[in-house]
Amino acid sequence: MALDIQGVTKRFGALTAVDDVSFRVEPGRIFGFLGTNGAGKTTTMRMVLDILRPDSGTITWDGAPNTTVSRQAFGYLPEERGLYPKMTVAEQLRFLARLYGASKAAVERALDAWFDHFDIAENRGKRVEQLSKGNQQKVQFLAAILHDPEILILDEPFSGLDPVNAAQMKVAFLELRDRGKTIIYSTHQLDQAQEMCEDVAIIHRGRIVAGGDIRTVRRSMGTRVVRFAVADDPLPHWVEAVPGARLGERRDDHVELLVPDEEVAQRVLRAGIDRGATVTRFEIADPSLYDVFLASVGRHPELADAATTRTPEPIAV
Amino acid sequence: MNEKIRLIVRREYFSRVRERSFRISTAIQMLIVLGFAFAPTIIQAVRGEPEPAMVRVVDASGTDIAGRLAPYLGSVTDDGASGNDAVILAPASITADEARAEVRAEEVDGALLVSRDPAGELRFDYIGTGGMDTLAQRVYAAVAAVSLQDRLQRAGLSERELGTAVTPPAFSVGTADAEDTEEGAAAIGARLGVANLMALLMYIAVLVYGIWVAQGVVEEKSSRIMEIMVNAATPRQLMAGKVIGIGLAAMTQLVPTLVLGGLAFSAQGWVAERLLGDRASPTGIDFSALSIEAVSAFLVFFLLGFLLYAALYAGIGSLVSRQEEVNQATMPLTMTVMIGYFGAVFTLNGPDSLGARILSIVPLTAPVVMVSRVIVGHPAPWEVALSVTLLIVTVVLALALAARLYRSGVLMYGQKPSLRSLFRPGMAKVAR
Repeated sequence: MALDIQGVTKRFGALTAVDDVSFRVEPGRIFGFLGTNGAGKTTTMRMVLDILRPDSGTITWDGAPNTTVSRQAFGYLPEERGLYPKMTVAEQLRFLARLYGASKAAVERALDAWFDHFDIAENRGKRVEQLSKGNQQKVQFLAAILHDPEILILDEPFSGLDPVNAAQMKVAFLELRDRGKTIIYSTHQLDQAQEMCEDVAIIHRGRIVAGGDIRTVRRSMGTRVVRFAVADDPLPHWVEAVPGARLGERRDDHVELLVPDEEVAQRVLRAGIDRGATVTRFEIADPSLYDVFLASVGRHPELADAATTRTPEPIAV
Repeated sequence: MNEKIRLIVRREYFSRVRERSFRISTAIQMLIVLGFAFAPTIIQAVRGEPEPAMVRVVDASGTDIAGRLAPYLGSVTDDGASGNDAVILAPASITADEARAEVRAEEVDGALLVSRDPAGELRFDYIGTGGMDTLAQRVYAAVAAVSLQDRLQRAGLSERELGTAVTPPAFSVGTADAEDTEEGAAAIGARLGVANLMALLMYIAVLVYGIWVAQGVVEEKSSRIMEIMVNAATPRQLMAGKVIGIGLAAMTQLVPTLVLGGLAFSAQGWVAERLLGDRASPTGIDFSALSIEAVSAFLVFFLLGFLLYAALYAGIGSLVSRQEEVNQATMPLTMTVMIGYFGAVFTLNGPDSLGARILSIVPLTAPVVMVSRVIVGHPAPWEVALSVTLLIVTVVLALALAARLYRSGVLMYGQKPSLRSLFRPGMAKVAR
């Protein structure tokens, strides 16, 4: 049981939206599908769902072409949110789950359980247009999972959620993963993806530029990061003198150094001690997913401040 | 029926029927029908007896012209005027100038000055509004008859011969068709009435409920639920469910209104008699022309016509993104429906003319026009069969086109799809 995408290409006229894309998503693992707006994420997801057909390549689920898989196997949270504004929450969810093919009894059971999980039981009888944005988002998520699909395709499920709702959503994600669902989700929140995903793929201009389990991807640049601080010297330029070490981002209380391997990291530490500096922080880590992402899509990792000055995502059209 | 289609039909049906606006529009429709049925009677009852026109007759001819005019116009005096359109003739020995003054003062509606020239010929001078209005025309018709009588009398015809000479001839109206010769003018009128009513009904139903379908599609588009829907079901299932569901909702509104209308028009005569007594004139539609043939033709063509236009309206709905654009976008289709309706109305005059025959075969106008022809004319069986077959084929094609446009609409949110873009290679490979 796995979702297998092999050499998939999709063109719209002169534009190649998806170019020879291959990846594999295992059940019981969360797969993060990352890329800038217009990189080809949504087109790929629509092909997995058989809303669009690829020009070439194959998509299989458990060895069978996705075109032959029952609709009930797919749960989809589109990037463009939408529900019938005048139907009540419960009516709407029942309708959609039954339309996907779930049985009446199963839908009722799932409805009760998930309403409890998301603390929205009191909204059952409300019209969707009366709900807060966060609650609409949760209902939208339920619309994608209530029929108990095996493959979940979620296009930016976390966008627009406040921290409390995002935490609830994350718990739901992990639970679905533990139930053995196959989950593909796209996001621009890379710190969160780094925390949640077992596997990622980064797509850029229609091509996969990095992919695999998250550890491998974070190490794929051939660089490690040293978080380094010495007393009374916020910007220790002298580390540049250590062969192989580069000064990276300056953080609140430390600087990041980019080193090719641990050997160079040790040399930095030794150099510090030799200078008589008091080393207050020394930590070797993998580059963040954010840095790897920027590097993969052709932006130098030092150019952006990962933690603080991230600009909000423009709204995709 | 396919389970998914059944679910969609249910949703489409109940989401409309439960709306308050549905109940309100049903009530308004029923009021309009009742209004058509009873308004003429009620207006007549409220207005009471219409004032008869009064014409002053100044007779210098020496013969009792006013008395002879009376049978053609009404009464010589105030009492005894019968019917709504009687004219009271008021003879008086006044001068022509005095009569003119009366007309000017609007004491009478007109004055008729009667004299005889030296040759003995009657001469009539009518003083009224100046134009040849209805009253003047009626006075003219009456004096023409009286003057003819007068000439015949002077030529020496006896009283009895005179009676025969002015009796109206036997005169009937029929058509060139052999079958119709047995039929009276009343029956032909009844068939025209029924055909007209059915054409009007189809026209209104298609326009009103077709827009519902277009709005239903746009609702899914503007609320962005479309993308989930095409994931859960195929566009064909979605289209079929939508058209059937809205069709059933339409019937839920239309059938009770029709039944009410039928009862109201049947009760019309009775109500008129109660309110107006013997002033009641026979009005309304004669349903005697509702043959089994006519009703079954209506049902078949109504169903097919509705499906065809519902599919086309759905397709157009897929091309626009906002409710405000619906009316503008559906304009060409609305015009087509109107052409069909006016085609049907003209068909009533020549039900088997070449134009009517063409319009009754062309799928877009066939539903309305063919029903009219079945009721009023004599379409050949092969014509009806061809019309139905073409219509069914067109319905299937239109539904497929609508499903395709719906699908393309999902993939092109926010863009205005040009006809070309719908058929470009990438779009041609849409799934399912």
